[in-house]
Parts: sequence; structure tokens; C-alpha cells
Amino acid sequence: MDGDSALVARLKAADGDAFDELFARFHPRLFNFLARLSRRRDVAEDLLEETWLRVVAHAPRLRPDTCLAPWLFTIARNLFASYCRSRQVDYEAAVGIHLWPVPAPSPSPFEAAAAGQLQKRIEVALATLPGTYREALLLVALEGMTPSEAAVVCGVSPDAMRQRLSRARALLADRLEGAASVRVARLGEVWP
Amino acid sequence: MSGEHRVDPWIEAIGGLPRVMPDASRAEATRRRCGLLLDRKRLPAAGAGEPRRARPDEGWPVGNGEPVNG
Repeated sequence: MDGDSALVARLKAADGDAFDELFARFHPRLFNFLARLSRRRDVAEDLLEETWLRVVAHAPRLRPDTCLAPWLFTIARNLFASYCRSRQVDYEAAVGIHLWPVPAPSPSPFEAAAAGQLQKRIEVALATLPGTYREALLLVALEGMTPSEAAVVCGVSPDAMRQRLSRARALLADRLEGAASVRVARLGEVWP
Repeated sequence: MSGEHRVDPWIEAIGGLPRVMPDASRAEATRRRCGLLLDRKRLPAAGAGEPRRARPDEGWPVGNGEPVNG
């Protein structure tokens, strides 16, 4: 991310406007990541605040070539891992059941219902994945990172991240298609 | 996102999930708190350890103890 160097330089100088720019760019994305990782709004809000405090504390020591997105997501991800350790929550199994806000309306009620159903299925399947797979999918599929950037965030090699993504995709597809086939079988009971 | 992962329809579907938005008032409070912390970081460097000078609108003693604006 070549465009980050100017902003990094300003952050190192404790420039408040630079911080505001960074905050506007990443606050919603980091919240989205933490909320889907923890499955709890309150935890995500707390961890996000702590993330920004760490950013302020460490900004003067940033390397000039720092890529900001992986750096920020690494801080957020590590704070979530610490949270799991401190609460003795199993990172792999950290799954809570919390409802998400209703998605934005689609053009027609039928489309909205179909899209809502699909999104719910994906949310549930995603939430039941082990934490390492869930974070890999969130970073790449939702946040648009490359596997190499996601590898930096998760502290693994790019090859390990590609493997992890491949397994995560297979597991997700398995759970989603499994759920779909159960529904088709139930329909078959009603419509022989 | 790399094309390698675009081919999987489930991955594409994850990309289309609705964004969960943070609480706006808490976000603003966090931004302000961080802004204050940044100010504190910047001021010592600018003032090189000297007490800060009073701004014209401040009518109370600051730093060297001499009142400003009477």
C-alpha cells in the first residue's frame, strides 16, 4: 500500500488530522471484523476502543513502510486473542448466539426474504467455524485483503494462510450445502 | 481481494454480508479521547519541555505563574 507512507509520516508526528483520517477509514471496518469474530457487539466496542488507544501509543514508532490495514487488523486481532485468553474463552470455539441488525432492504419483499435467508445461513455457518478459519475468511472475503496480508495479521506464513483459506472454504461450503440438503429433504417430505 | 478466492460463490456471498455498524456516539468519544492523547504527545515535543504559554483567551496563570490578560 504505497498510499500509506504519507499518512504514516503524519501519524508518527502525532498529527491529529491524520489520526482522524485513519479513524474514518478504518473504524467501521475494524468494528465489523471484531463483531463477527467475537459475535458480541459490546465486546467488539470495547476491543475497538482499546485498539485505537494502542494505535495512538505506538504510532510514533511506526516504520515508514508500514501498511496500515494489516497493522491495524493485527492489533485488533491480537486484542481479541488476549480477550479470549483472559476470559478463558476457547478462541477456536468462541461462538455466541447474537442476532444481527436486519440487512438493508432489497428491491422486492421476495428478494429481501431470499437474501436475508442466505445471509442468515452464511452468518450461522461462519459463526460455527473454528476461530482461525473464521478470521481468515473475514479478512480475505469480507475485508478484501490478499492472503499475504491476512497472513501478516494472523502471524502465519502466506502458504499457511492459503492452506487455511482452502480448508475454511471447504468447511464453510460443507456446512452451507449440508444445511441446504437438509432443507430440500424436508421439502421432499411435504411435496412428495 | 484476489481472483483466486472470487471463484467460490460462498466466499463471494461472505463479501456481500451486511456491514455491522459501530455505535456512533461511542466512536466519537473514542476519537476525541485519542485526539487528546495525541495532543499530549505532540505538545512536549513542540515546547521542548518548557511550560506551555497561555492562549490569549486564557485569563489565568499558566506555566511561569504570571497572569495573562490581567
